[in-house]
Amino acid sequence: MSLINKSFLFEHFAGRTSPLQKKLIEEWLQSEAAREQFYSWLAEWETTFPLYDPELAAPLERFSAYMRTPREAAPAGDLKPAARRSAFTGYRFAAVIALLLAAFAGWLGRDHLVYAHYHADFGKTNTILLTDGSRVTLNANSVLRVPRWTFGNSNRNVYLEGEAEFSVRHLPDHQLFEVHTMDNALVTVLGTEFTVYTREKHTNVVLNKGKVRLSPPARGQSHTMVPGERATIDTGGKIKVEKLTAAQLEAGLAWKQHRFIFDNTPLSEVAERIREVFGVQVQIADKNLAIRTATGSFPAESAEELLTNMSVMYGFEIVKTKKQLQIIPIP
Amino acid sequence: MGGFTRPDHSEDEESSRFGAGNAATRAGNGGGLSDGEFFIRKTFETDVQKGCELLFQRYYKPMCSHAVRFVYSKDIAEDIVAEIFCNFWDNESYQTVHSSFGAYLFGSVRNRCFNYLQKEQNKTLSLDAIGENDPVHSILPEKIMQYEELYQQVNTLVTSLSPQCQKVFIMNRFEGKAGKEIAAELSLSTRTVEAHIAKALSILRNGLRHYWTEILLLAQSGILMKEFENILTSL
Repeated sequence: MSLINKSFLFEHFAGRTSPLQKKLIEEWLQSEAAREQFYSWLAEWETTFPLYDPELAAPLERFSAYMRTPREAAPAGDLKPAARRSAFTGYRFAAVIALLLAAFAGWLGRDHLVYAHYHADFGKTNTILLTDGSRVTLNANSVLRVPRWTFGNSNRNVYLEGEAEFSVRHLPDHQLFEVHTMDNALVTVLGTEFTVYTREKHTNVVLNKGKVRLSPPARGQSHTMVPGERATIDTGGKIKVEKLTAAQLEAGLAWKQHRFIFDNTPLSEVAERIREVFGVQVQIADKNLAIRTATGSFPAESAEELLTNMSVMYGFEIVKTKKQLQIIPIP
Repeated sequence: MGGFTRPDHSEDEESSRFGAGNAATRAGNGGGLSDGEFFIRKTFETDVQKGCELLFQRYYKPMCSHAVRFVYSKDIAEDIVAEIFCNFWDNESYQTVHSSFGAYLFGSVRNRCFNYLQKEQNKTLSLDAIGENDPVHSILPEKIMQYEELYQQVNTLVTSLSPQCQKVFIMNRFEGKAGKEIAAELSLSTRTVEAHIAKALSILRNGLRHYWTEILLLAQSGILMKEFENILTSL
């Protein structure tokens, strides 16, 4: 017979079991009957030693009212359930507000109150029209924060994590538009088109049109860019400037059409790019495969699609596990 | 609530049986919540809404109490539990649940609290590798054990706060009092009260950070182990 009994588990719920005893419980939990028993005791424990005493009558009344309203929207003539429904949704609304406030004010500090957050999820892009008429296209896995109350008052500051193309409107009062990057560098603009990339490794800015000024994090020498340039800020805070060809400029914006352009890019870097854009880990176990380079333009909206498109040319197979993709050379 | 006298009575019977029964043998013959839910199951056959109300009466309080251990806020906990019941009704989960209702509901509470905390943490720490916590996971023994670790960690952290800080935090999160009210009641400045609350939250968040990184490592080592097995079997 198992050692596990009610008082044993009560001790466990209260946090008074040793690692060895926890191991016993974990083994015991293998069977479905044991899991049923576990939850039964958990319910009993919470009833016997509650952390607080919640009020039951009012929530129960709200729940009953919720169930009495039809699941689909109530027909217009039917007043009573509609009124009840709104009472309950009102409660839910209030509860959600309370929850949001608690979450925002508490866990996040004032961040979400002060800034509007725009996201592009893995594998997606997101185009945002700011209140001043400037347009921002976010690449996958990127966040743009815009101050809710002060944006456009006397200056325009935005904060970027990830990658985005900006098309900045020139305002009559020549207001500056400033992009703050992850490493606290600053891109200052009057009205122009440019792309900013700012992730863990480095920050870079590609200028298509107009004029921007790039200021490194530590108050080093700032640089005024001319169109067709790419400026990279390395971890030391130094700015490196390269002149891009028309093809390279186009490649830099390929993500807007969900295309990937590689030019002698090692597969290990391709894997890194996939992690940034799709949030998928790609593992290349074979060293020779990892240093092989890829060249070409690949349309893809998912990591698997991209790798499948590349697999024929570079002779590898894709093994899919739950949390990551693995590529292995075809012998 | 005169209409609910009958189920209340049956619950009394139930709990006394719980206390007296020999726990170990009950576990052996696959007892648990399911036999105690016999009456509720019967009600579901004739009147689903009534069945849901009975479940609510029976589990709402212990579920809230459990949720509070994770999220440490009365409002958030009660909101999470209310949502679970609404979903239970909306998705007609009573038709598809294989386990007892109680096990399902408690599993859901733990899942949702876990996801809630994870989302909160995610905003400061990138943990994409953990992924959403789907209900299937809640039947994995190691997962069940992780939930205990989590709320006990929360408890340890709250206990570690200084008495004054603890008091302010609990007034704020359980009695729903705003900074000003607390300040007036304890004759402190509003700023001190706010600092206490901020401190408590930051201690919670930082304290749990270790928990999440550990889970992340566990999840990743799990993947590695599986891959290792895959490689072995493919040889």
